Amino acid sequence: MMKKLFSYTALLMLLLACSCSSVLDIAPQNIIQGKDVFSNESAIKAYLATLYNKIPIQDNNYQIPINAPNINYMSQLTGESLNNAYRWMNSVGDGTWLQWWGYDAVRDANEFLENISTAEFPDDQKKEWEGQVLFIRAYYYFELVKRYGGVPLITKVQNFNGSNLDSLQVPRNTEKEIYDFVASELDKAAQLMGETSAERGEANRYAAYALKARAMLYAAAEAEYGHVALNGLVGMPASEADHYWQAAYDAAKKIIDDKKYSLYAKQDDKAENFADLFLDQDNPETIFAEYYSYPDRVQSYDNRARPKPENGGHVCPTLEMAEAFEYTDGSDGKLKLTDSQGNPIEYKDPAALFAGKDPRFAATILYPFSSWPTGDVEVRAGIIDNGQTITTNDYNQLYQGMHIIGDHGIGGNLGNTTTGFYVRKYLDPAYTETDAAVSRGNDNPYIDMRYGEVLLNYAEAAIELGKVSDAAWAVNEIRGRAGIKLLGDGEVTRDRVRHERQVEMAFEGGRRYWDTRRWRLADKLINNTKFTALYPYYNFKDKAYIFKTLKVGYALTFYPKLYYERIPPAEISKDPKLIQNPNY
Amino acid sequence: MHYRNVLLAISVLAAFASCTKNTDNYNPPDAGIHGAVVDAITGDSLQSEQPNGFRIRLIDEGYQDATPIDFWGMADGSFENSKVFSGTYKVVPIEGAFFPADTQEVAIKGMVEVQFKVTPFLTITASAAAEEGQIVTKYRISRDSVGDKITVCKSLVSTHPTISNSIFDKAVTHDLTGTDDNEILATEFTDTLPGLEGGKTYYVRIAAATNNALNKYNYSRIIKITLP
Repeated sequence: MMKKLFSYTALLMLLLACSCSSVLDIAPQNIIQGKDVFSNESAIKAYLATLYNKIPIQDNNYQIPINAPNINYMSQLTGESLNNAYRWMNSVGDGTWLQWWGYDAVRDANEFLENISTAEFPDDQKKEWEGQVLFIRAYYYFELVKRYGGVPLITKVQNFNGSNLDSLQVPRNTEKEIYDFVASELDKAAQLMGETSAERGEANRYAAYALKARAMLYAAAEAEYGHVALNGLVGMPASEADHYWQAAYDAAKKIIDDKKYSLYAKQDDKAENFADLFLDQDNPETIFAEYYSYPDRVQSYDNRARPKPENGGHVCPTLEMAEAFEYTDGSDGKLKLTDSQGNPIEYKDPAALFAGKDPRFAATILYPFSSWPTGDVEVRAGIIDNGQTITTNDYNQLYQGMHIIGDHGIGGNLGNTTTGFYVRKYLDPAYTETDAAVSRGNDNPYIDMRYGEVLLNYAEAAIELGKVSDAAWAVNEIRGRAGIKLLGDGEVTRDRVRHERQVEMAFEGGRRYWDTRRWRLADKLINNTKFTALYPYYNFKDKAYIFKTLKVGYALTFYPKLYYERIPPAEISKDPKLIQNPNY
Repeated sequence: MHYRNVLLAISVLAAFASCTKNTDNYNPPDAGIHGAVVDAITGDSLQSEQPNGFRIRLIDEGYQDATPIDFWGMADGSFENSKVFSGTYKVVPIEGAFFPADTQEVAIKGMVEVQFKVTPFLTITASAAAEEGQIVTKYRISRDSVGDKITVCKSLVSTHPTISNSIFDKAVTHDLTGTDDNEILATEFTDTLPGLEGGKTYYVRIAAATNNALNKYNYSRIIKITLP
C-alpha cells in the first residue's frame, strides 16, 4: 500500500515537473484559436451562431431561473397563467430573477467587430456579417437597458495589462445614452444588412427595424410613464417621449411600407389559422425566429405545457386571461356563467360556454372540453346531485359509474390544470403525448419578431402621438386577421391598443411582463392579487354543466422596485464605480 | 486500509494546523444605532410599511469611498441596527415617502439614539368606526410641501397588523389622477369596507401616494377595531 502510494506520488511529481518545459505550450488541436477564426468561413459562421445564441430571448424553453424544483414561465409573473398544483409561485420576483449581465456576450461581439475588417473576404460578405453583429450587440444592450436602466457602454475589447485596472472599471452610462446607442447601431446594422436573411435564423434589415421599433417603444414608455432617478442612470427625460414614440413609429412604418412581410392568413378557419401561425415554418409573418435541430438543440414546450396528466400543465391560463379575449362581435369577453339572478347557467354542451369568442381564444387556450388530438380536454371539478357536491382528488373514484373528476383535472394527477384551462399557442397537435417529439423535445421554431408585433408597435406609437387613424388601421389589420369586429376610429384608444396587444401576444416570450412594466402598470395590476380558476361541475340529474369560479394560488405583489433589476453585487465589488439601482 | 485512515488524519491535522485563534479575526461589531424618523411639522413618527418602507444609510467615514450600509426601517417609523462597528458615520434616511432628508454625522459607540426630521409627501389623518359587518373610514389628506401630483388613496383592512398597500384583505381605492390636488386636499373621504365578520379584530389603515419616482405610499396610523 505504502509503496504504491509512493510510486503514485513520484509519478505525480514527475508530471508536474514536466509542465515546466515549454513542450506543452502548444495550441490545443481541438479548439480553433482566436486569430484563425477570421480566416475561415465556417468558423465565422460558428462564431456568429454563438453570438445569436447568447441573445437572452425568453423563448418557450425559458424558465425563470429561481432556486426551486419548479418550472416557472414568464406568463406566471403577470397572471396570464398559473403553474399546476403545489408549484404555485408565491412571489413575482425580488429583482434578481430576470438577471442578464451579459458582458461576456458583449465582449465576444466587440472582438468580432474588431477583427472582421481585416479578414480576407469580399467586402459585401464582411458588410453583411458586420451588420449582423451590430444588430446582435444592439440587442444585447437593449436587453441590458430594459432590465437595469443605464449600464456601462463598452464597445471595445478590454484587456488588462497589469496597471490599467482603473480604466477597465467603467461607470454606468445614462439610460438615455444606451437607448440612443441601440437606435443608432440598429440604423447602421440596417444599412449593412440585406433585405433577406443570408441563412435561416440570421437577421436581416427588417429584423433591425423591428428591433428598433420595439426598443424605441420601451424608451418612449420609460420617458412617458417612468421617472428619472440617480441623475439619469435610470429613467428617461419626459420631454423626449414624443421623439422616441416617433422613432418607433418610423421604424415600424418602414417594414409596413416595404411590404416584404404580411400577416399569416393561409387558412379559412380563423382559429386554425392563428394556431398554425406559430407552427408553420413557411411563414410570411416571421421576421426573426429561433430555429432548432433535433436532437442537438430542441424545444420542450410540448412536454411541459401539454395537457398530460403525469407531467405537464405547467402553463394554466387564468380566467382573467380567458375573459380578456372579446367576443367576435367586439363585446366584452366576460363569460356567461350566471343568469341575471346570479344563478349558474346550465350548459348541456359545456363547450358552448365559449361560443362566439374571438377565434384567437381557441387558438391560444385549451378550454374545458375543447377538442385535442388525444380526445376532448376533460376538465371537471366534481359532480352535483340532489344538491350535494361530490368531489375527490382521485380520477379513479366513480359516482354511479362516472368519473367524479375529469381525466385532465381539476385535481387528481400533479400535471393537471389548476385553473380549468391549458395553453394551446405553440403546442403542436400533430404530435401525441407518447411521441418522442413531446417527451424529448422537437425542432418547432420560436418566433421572436413577427409582423403582427410590428403592427401593434406601430399602433401603440401612433396612438401615443395622436395619429388615431394610423393606430386604427394597424389594430384593424390584426383584428381582421383574427376574425373579430373591426373598430371605428373613435373607438381606438390607448387602452384598446394595449388590450389588443395583450390578447394577440399572450404567452409569447414574456411580452406582457415587460409591457406592463414599461407602462408602469405592473404594481397596480398585481398588488396583493389572486387569480381565478374556472371549475366545471356536472349536474347529474339535469345532465348539464355549470361553472363556478374560485380564487387560487398565492396573493402576488409586484413591488415598484422591480421596475429595475438589481445590479449583481458581485459586479459592483469588481467595479466600484457602478451605482446600485434604487431600493436594493 | 489503516494506513489510509492514518494518512487522512494526518492531512486533516496538517490542513488545520495553520489556523490560530486570535491573530486572524476582528472583534464582532459591538455598537448599534436606533431611533425614529419623524414628521418635521407634526412631530409624529413617520407612518410607513414593512418591508419596502424606507431605509437608513450608514456611510463609514473611516474609509475612503466606503460602501454604504443600508438597512430597512420599520412600519412605525422606527429603526434599529444593533450590529455596527464603532466609528463615525454619515447617517441619512433614504427611499421613503418623504422629501430628501439632511444627513447627520453620528459617532457610533455603544447603542446610539438618533432622530431624523423629514417632510412626508402627504400626511393622512383618519378615523374608523365599526358597524354591523362593516367598517366606515373617514380621512383627510394634507401636506406641508407641494411635491408630485396626488394619484391614489385607499382604505385598507386586514386581519394582520402588518397591513400595508400590498398586504390587505379588502380595499376601497380612489384613482385621483384626474382630480385636481386642491380638490383632493379639501375633501373628506368616507369609505365603507363591507363583508367583515362580527367579533373579529381588524386593522384599518389609509394609504395615499403621489406620482413619486419610487412609488412610495404615505400612511395613516394603524387603527385596531373589533367588530360588534
